[in-house]
Amino acid sequence: MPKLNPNAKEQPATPEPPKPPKAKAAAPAKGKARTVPAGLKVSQETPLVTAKAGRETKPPKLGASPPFYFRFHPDRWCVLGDHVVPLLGKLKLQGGLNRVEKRNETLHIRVAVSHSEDEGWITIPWDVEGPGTSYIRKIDGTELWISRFERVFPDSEHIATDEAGYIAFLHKLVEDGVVPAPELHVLEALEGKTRQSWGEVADRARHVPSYAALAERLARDLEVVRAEIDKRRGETAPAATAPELPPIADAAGGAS
Amino acid sequence: MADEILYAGIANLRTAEALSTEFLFQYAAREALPQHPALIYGGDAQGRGSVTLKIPVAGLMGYDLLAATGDGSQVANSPLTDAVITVTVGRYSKSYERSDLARLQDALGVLRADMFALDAIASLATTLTSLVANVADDFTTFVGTSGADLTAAQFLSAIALLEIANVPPPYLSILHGRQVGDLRENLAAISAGALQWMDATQQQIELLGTGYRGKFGGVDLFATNHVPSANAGADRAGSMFGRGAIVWADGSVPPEGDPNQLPIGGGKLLVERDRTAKAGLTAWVSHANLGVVKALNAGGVSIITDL
Repeated sequence: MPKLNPNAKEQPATPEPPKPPKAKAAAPAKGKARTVPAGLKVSQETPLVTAKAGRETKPPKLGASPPFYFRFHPDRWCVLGDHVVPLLGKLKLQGGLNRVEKRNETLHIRVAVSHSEDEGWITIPWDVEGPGTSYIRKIDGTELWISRFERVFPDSEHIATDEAGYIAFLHKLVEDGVVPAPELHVLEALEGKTRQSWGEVADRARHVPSYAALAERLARDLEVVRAEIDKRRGETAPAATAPELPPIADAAGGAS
Repeated sequence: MADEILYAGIANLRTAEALSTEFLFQYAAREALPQHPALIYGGDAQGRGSVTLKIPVAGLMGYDLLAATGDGSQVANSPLTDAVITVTVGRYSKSYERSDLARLQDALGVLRADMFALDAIASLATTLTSLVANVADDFTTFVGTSGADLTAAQFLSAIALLEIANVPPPYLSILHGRQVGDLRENLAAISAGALQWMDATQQQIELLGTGYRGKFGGVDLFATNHVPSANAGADRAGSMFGRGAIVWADGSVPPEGDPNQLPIGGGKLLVERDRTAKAGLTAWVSHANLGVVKALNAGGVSIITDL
């Protein structure tokens, strides 16, 4: 570029910068596709899809289940979560089931409850935790009744259990005297059953490593049951009188 | 090029969806088990004067032993031990109501009267299965460990407990599908063929019901997902029992000569048509009267294992 003379009266016009040469597109080779030039424009898009149906609106994939009372039997105890707790049954309240009658929309359960109690069951009322409470729930839009310790999910068969809450509920039933504490012979039978299960699994675990966890769990269960037995033995008083024996003839032929 | 005839542009000449000639049934627990000798049929309540049937239980045929009695002594009477089992039938019904518009376009024939009647028969069997499963979970004797899978040893334990209680075979076991699967897997892992599972044949399925899964340890095995839960949903409560543990009964509705009613099986299932002309609706309603009870508690064992 020529130098500008600051003293000159007329300045020559600033010359235009030289134009860059035109980029020549690569000539396609004979019989081959044209290569993609640099700087291809890309737009950010998502494909058009139909709206997904909301899973939250679907009921759980579980069949209907009638309302029920929990009931307790003195012979049914088990180990749950390292605790010896009652294994509760359910008296299901549905017409035609276990002597329950349904007339109009009312369930007549007197005969069913009476027969259940004749068999040794103790029926646990819904408001056992206090007036206005209930341990059963009905899922809206279904005929599914569950306990308050269970949780179901839309469009799913899964049932989640609040084990800690359920164990606390069971302990409270015993503490409050709603159900009696376990008898010693029942605990001893439970110990025998648990020991047998542990023995089978422990033997298997020697050759199949995946059984080790179950063997450990059953060993813990056995300890829990034995601790409960020791506790009950400390509470059980010995018999006060000797049993009455039948008369037995002596060697001379006379009764003693 | 221009004016190509594209699929998107001929909406007036095509349909959005075409109905296939094939159709499927939704998955459901459709097992039926009414024919096993372990289940006692208490009778039909029709014309008996009550919806409650009573089955007497007598302590005879070897129940009491002879007592050693001295020469010349009078033998004391043995008390006759008796009991009674009562079963009350209740009404079970279902209704499907279709409009005339739904009926006229029915290309697959699923909205026809005969289809609804077949469905009613299948539903009756499945309902009875569900009722039996829901009374069999509460025997006072039980096997199984909460939170642990069912094992073959526990299954054999249940057999032993029934034998100890003098329950005569054959035994029937009703388990949840998960329990059957766990048992099968445990057998495959441990027995190396020493314990045999005899799978069901087609003939046995036709005779004993669609839930029949075969025989193991001499016990007939049925699977149904109607088996209820236990321990607040943590486990499933299956069962094993012999004859006397479960009693069921039904009630036939006598026919009235009504052309809109179709009694099936002598009235054990009643299918009837209810037309609401003004609304153009036709309902097909099915009714049955069923009752199931747990009878002799010592005749069964609950099997409570992980879900």
